[in-house]
Amino acid sequence: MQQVFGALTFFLQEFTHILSLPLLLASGLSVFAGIMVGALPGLTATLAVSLLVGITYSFDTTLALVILIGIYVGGVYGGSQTAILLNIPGTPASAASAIEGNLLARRGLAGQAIGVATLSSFVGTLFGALMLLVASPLLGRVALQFGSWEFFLLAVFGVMICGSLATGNPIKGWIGGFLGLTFAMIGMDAMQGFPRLTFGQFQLNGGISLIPAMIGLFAIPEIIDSLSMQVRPSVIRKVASVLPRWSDFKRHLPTTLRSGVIGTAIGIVPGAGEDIAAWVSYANAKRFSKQPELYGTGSEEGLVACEVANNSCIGGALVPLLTLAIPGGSVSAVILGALFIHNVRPGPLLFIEQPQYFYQIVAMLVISSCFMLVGGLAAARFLPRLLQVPVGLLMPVITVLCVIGAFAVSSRMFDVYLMFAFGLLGYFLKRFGYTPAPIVLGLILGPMADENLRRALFLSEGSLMPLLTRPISLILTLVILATVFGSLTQLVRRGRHGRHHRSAPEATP
Amino acid sequence: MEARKADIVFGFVLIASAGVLWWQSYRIALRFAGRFMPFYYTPGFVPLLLTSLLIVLGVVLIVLRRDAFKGSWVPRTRIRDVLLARGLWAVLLIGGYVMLLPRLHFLAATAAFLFLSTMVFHRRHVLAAALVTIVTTLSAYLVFARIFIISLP
Repeated sequence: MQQVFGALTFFLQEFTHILSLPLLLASGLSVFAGIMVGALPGLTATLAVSLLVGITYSFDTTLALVILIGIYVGGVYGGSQTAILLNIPGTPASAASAIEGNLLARRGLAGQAIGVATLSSFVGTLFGALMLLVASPLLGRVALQFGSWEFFLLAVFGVMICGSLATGNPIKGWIGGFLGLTFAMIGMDAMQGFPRLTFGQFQLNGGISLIPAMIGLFAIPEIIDSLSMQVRPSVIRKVASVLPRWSDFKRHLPTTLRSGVIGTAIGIVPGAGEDIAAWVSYANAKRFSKQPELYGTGSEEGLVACEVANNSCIGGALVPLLTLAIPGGSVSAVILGALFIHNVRPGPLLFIEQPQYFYQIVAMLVISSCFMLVGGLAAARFLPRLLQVPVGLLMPVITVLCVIGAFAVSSRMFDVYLMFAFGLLGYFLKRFGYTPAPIVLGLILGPMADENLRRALFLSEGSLMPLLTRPISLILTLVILATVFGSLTQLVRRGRHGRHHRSAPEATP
Repeated sequence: MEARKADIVFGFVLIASAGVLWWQSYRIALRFAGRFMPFYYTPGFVPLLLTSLLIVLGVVLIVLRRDAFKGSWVPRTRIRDVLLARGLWAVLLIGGYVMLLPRLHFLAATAAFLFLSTMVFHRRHVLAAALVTIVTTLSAYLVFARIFIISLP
């Protein structure tokens, strides 16, 4: 009880710290910018956050985090407006919302749909923040017992689970993850100070810079893809009153709570992002609905389920990020990089060494959600006009921002070349069915895996027995093995199913 | 190219590149092992492990797609289609911009890139493209270099 009271006091203290005019202004503007970014098809929260990590590099840590969290919250929500008005999800997170949201809009209820979606996103973000506040210290206490073996296994687990969930094919996900881990080996070794895999390029001695790599992997493929298929969508322009009604909120309360739990739980699992949370929650809401026949015809309840889940996923994704330094999704992977850049060390020791940042992040989520509620409802009026900005005009401007973001960190052109090289790599990998999230995760977790494995082996004189004798190591080893076998079994089953389907027409006379 | 064939090509590229890195890591591990420290503590040990895993995964990818070895390997896409693809133009323009930056001033390189991109992808009047270019370039310069005091390329 005393600990809960202490945590609450700390939270309120940091909350009041954030309530200064410059930080509130930064939060409001970044949430609003996030909504715009999320609303524009082709631009995602991941892209915006990766761009801003570079630009906010020289800012004060709290200010930089306020901006990044604001963009994250606004970006995840903003996609729903495009989903409702255009039937094109602005971000993958709002793909499920497009089904019911756009059908409501076509029935002339665009304003009501936006109101419901905004209120649901607000409640979802608050729910996620509450879960973050409650669950993180508990998980952090367990993580304090971690040694070198556990940290190594945690890094491997993060890459394996992210690989399994990020793409349809776990082999491709794992290739991405191990590619990222291998990229992380490039540069001066932290333990012996020996340059590795640099091929004599002295600029690589410092390793692959995280920000240019992230911008390249996330932003450049999206820019190229958006420019490749320039289609002007038809926008629903008539938006009536967007103010949500209290009666609607009360009616959807059970769905809201259920979706909040689903979204947070899925957010905690590394690799499973907001999009998966929204789909699972949508399917779940339909199963428990009293009127399942309304789903697919413009169901408010379905829209609530998607929006609460994808926004509560934000808080969930921050739980493993802050307690174990394992990001829950691609945006949180980028935020992890930003935290490292600003000398904030997420992990079990965060609650002992820098607890203020944990409580500040929770406070930022709460404040950002309030700005999202106001900004989202206000944006509904002029967003239909903004959505008509041609991609051919917008994407070149984004490219310039990418270049500035990549250069800003170390002021060297090599980072811009690196961004472009990773951009091309990301583009081709995307074409081959790979996603950038496992690569970025590998890039972040690489040094942790490398140093801890070598230290652990040195301490055990080359023996692998601690994997079985240390309880947490044993659990993590079993979880990793279960992930690998589970994914492979699924892959083999799907392969057999596919072969059966391919051979079926041949068998038909 | 068909997705399954593309996986085979990617598998071979992965094995070849991971092979080169494996050899580099092996040399680093050998340089330190025995004389100064045990093999598992050398700087080359973890990269060796990772590149070995990449090679294994590359082989698994090819084995899983082995049935795609059958059939024609001639790409169905014509060279003309590739050259006219907007994606290729996007890559060339972004690449050109990145290469131009150290040779020209940021303002000049950015203006050239924005003007050409607007002409290629937006296809509007030259004056409209010039207006967009000037407004965007100057805004980017003022916001980042003057207000945020961020160094520009």
